[in-house]
Amino acid sequence: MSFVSEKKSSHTKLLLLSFLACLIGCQPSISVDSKTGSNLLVYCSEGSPVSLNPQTNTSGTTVDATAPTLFNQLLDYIPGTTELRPSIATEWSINEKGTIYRFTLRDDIAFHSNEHFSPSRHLNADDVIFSYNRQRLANHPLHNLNGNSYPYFNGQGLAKLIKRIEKTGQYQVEIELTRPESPFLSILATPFLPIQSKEYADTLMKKNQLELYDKNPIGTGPFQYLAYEADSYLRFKRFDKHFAFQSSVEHLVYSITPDPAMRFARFSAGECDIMRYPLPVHNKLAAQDNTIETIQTPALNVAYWGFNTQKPPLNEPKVRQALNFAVNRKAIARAVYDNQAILAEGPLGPSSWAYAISQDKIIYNPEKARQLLQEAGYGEGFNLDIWAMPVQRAYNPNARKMAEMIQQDLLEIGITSNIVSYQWGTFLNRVAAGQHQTVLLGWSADNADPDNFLTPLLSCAASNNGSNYSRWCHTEFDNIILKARQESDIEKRKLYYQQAQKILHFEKPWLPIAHTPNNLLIKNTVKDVNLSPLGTINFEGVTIISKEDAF
Amino acid sequence: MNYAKVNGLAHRLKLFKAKASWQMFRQNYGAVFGAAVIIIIILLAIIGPWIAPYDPAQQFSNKSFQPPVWNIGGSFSHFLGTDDLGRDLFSRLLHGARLSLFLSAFIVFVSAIVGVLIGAFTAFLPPILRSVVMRVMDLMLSLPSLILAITVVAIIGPGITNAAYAVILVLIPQFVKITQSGISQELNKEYSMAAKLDGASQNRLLFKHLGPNIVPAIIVQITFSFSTALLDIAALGFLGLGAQPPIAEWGTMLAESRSYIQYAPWTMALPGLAIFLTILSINLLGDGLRDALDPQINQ
Amino acid sequence: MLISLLRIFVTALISLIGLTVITFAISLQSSIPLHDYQSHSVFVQYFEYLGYLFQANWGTSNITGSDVLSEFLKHFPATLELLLFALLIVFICGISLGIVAAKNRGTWIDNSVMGATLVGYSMPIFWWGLLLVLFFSLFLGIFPVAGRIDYQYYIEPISRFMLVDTLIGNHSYGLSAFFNALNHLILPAITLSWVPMAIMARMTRSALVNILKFEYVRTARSKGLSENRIIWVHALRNALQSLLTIGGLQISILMTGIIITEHIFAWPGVGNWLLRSVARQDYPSIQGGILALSFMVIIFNVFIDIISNFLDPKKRRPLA
Repeated sequence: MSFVSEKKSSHTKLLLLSFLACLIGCQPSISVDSKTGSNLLVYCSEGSPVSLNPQTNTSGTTVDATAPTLFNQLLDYIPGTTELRPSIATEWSINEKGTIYRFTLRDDIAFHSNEHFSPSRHLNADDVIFSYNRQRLANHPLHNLNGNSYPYFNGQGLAKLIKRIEKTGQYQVEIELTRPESPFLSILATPFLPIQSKEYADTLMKKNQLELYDKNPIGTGPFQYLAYEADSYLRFKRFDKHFAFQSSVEHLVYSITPDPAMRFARFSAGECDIMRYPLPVHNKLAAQDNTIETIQTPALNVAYWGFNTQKPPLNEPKVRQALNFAVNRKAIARAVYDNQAILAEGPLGPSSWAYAISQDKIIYNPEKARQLLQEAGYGEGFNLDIWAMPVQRAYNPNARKMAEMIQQDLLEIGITSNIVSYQWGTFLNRVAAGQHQTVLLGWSADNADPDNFLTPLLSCAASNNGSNYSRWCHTEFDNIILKARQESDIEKRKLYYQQAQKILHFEKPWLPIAHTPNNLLIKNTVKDVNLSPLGTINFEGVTIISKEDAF
Repeated sequence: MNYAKVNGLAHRLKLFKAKASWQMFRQNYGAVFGAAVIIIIILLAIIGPWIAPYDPAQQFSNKSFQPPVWNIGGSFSHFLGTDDLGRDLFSRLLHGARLSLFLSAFIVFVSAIVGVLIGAFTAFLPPILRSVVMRVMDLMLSLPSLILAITVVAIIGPGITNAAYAVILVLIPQFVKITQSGISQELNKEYSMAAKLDGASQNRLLFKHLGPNIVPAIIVQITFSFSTALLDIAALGFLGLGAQPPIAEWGTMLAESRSYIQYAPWTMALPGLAIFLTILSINLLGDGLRDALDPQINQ
Repeated sequence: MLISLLRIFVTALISLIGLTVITFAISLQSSIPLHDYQSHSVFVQYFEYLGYLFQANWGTSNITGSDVLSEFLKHFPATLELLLFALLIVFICGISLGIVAAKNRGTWIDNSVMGATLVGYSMPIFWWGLLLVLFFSLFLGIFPVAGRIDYQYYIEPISRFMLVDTLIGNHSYGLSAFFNALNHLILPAITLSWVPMAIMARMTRSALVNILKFEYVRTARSKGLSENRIIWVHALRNALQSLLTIGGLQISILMTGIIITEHIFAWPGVGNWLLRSVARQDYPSIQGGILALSFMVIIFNVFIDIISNFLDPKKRRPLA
């Protein structure tokens, strides 16, 4: 056999090797530069935003992608807290009855521009009225744009609550309510009520391109929209004329990475600087690495195991109490939350001002659970469905795993169970229709008022195909929270909420599981990223420092 | 020509072939190795419930992510380590072996029977109908197996039983083709013609001659189908369309372990290794069988 | 000749009809009808469905509300880019390995190549991909974990082939963007090409070994032709036709692999889109994705059939 070609092929091999070596050799320098470069910030987010206008969708991904980055509200929360601060409105006053709100606006707020629109004026009262009326008035030209609905605006009953909105000056707005509503300012500060440009709508209407209004958004926030590829990335450019903040970051990219394993892999390989929703394991790994920091804010959320109180045997309070004793929540806190969460005693967590410390905490006692089942006449056990939500949320990083653990615990007290799951949309629809027996779900508050937990989750109004998935309706409880909602004296409200929590503690429409702090992993070169207790990420003042300065 | 004479000749030829085949197979070390490994895995799967130290679903919540015994921090109580919920990996792998092998065996069994029946039936159909059936089979064969399986799962929903139906459907056409073409060829051979002329019934023909002549091809196809079945079930599990957690299935375990790839690499390495070893030994065995049984290479 | 071409087209046509029946069945799963059908009879609806397909109306996703065909076309270039790159590896590396093994048949080189390819084609690629990521991306940090290009580069989608866009696009990154995109292709392409490459190498070897046994090769050898010339000019040319057929079979393996590969590397292609649609029960998109992917396979097979028809006179049989 001849070996002439052997030489030839060794040449090719050399070529190939040097080519590979070049690729290998040249590339890291480029990619390392990009990660330390001070003008690009990559944020690995957990999913695609459903919409680029938070008025039309309340999901966490939508809010993260829009509100504090693209838009501003009349007022908002001090980053990392639930305290209100002025934003577009510099000051406000409320009349004695608590029904008329007067806002004074800043006069120096510029709007973004894009290829369809360049603003000719600053934000004024017209824009505020336009933004609210779009959601409020069914005959508004943008109300039915692209088949939109306004889940937050309607969910809070704002269409009925707001009697009129009026321009009282170029930079003055007056809002009159039909009745006093103490959480009103908190509601206005939520990311779902951004102020958008009326002039942009007028321009697009003239060009007959109104459908672009929400797709190519124009806002006033610290970053402006550049490009969006669904399920891939979202790009922003710094807005140099923002009225309050100037970031050192020129380009902001949301890298949409739904799989947590992939998210962490990208984060640890330096492909992104910030990672949303790390798993407990990732926190452990991050703790060993001094170039990674964890941002944690106490959470306004709750994970719970809800019992469908309309279905036997769960209509029996004794059975529900038994189930409250049956679950080893400490083990769940360890395995699912890696001890990062606080065990919940009720819907409200210790970070809420209405939190009441109850006398007897929920404890794990299978003996007691068996006894209660005996008393209720279910001594021989029964079969139970556990519906586990199929997605990862701040309050529950792994419902499936939680369900597996509860399944084991239930075997102890003679209850066999099966885990049920559907695709997320189907899951929610079926749970809302009451097809479940028990369900693992949770709630992240969208404003800091305690009512935001009790009314949507446990009121009678929400018990019939609403978000009260226990379908539990208790007249006394309902009266108490209604009174609390209309009261403006905070001490009196506290008393009401204590009564309400007492009732819950006996009735047990759920097993409250945990309040989870919101978590972010960030590279230590990134400074001033904030996470609000409501779970929204805020890039308004973000800076990147060089690697040397990070230590 | 005398039918009995030809029959005897063919029989002697077959005996000779069988002996030669066995010789060839024995000398193929790869095939012998494959056969040995696959027998060990099958044995482990069968006696699994008795030798597994724990229930595959049992959670030792204070022992999560314990590394295998040869790592620092490992211990003999969980000698292949534990996963995120503190479940014993060795027990889970054994359970996975049982599930994967039995399920694949069942899948191949069903699809082979259905495929052979359809194939045999088709062979006796009029030519036009036959070619319609064969075109449908060609279509199913030309579609990539995973795409076909995803199609089925998309229609009937994810889950291990549905994944099994999908894979059964994927595997049928090969058997149909082999049987159909085998029978058609045999029917045209001289001694079949002669037998027909001698007045032998068609059933008798099928069982005495045609059957034994296509059996080797079907045996070879069974081994390859087995590895396809195992791989497709694992792939569907990996993509979240097959077995759902907490079922201890290799592909599903692999998908779950992805989250811990840096923290606990063994939870990813072990199920993958199990799949790989099984597929490798089946392929070795299949190659050996084909070389030994395929008449074309035997010549 | 004409008849055999006709035969190929008729076969493809029957396959396409079968395929559209399957996708029509999927589209019926959707709670909202895919198109506005005039008729109530499912049979007639199928023909209406065909009509809509021809008018490039593949329906609208019931989850995202976007047009299925344009969604597919948006994701397809990423898939095709990866597929072609992998196919290149399959042919170049697979055939080279096969030649090396055939030339050194019986030696340790042959044995090790054959051993390696056996390991190769038994490798579950979903595990293989994870191992590659673990080693090359997370441990060594040589290759990126996911995506098509670093975010530092903002490449406007023109052709949506990243390698092309980095070259023709209007940007200031120069060639570094192209190399960055190439760098992102390597691990997914290796993962994807692994199994077909192993099969290709084995098939090349056995085809060559078969041909080298023939009389005319012996004659050529006795004439003093060099072994290289024999392999490259005579043997390989004769093996080309069977190699092409084998290459055609690989496309099916590649299509299976690409769904898994895209899943592992978060590659924004058709496979990932299809999996997402299955998870969301987005039947219009599932129907479109499967239709398009399978259509590609069928068309590709037609190509291979035609080419091998030209190469092999024996294959030109009349219509059966």
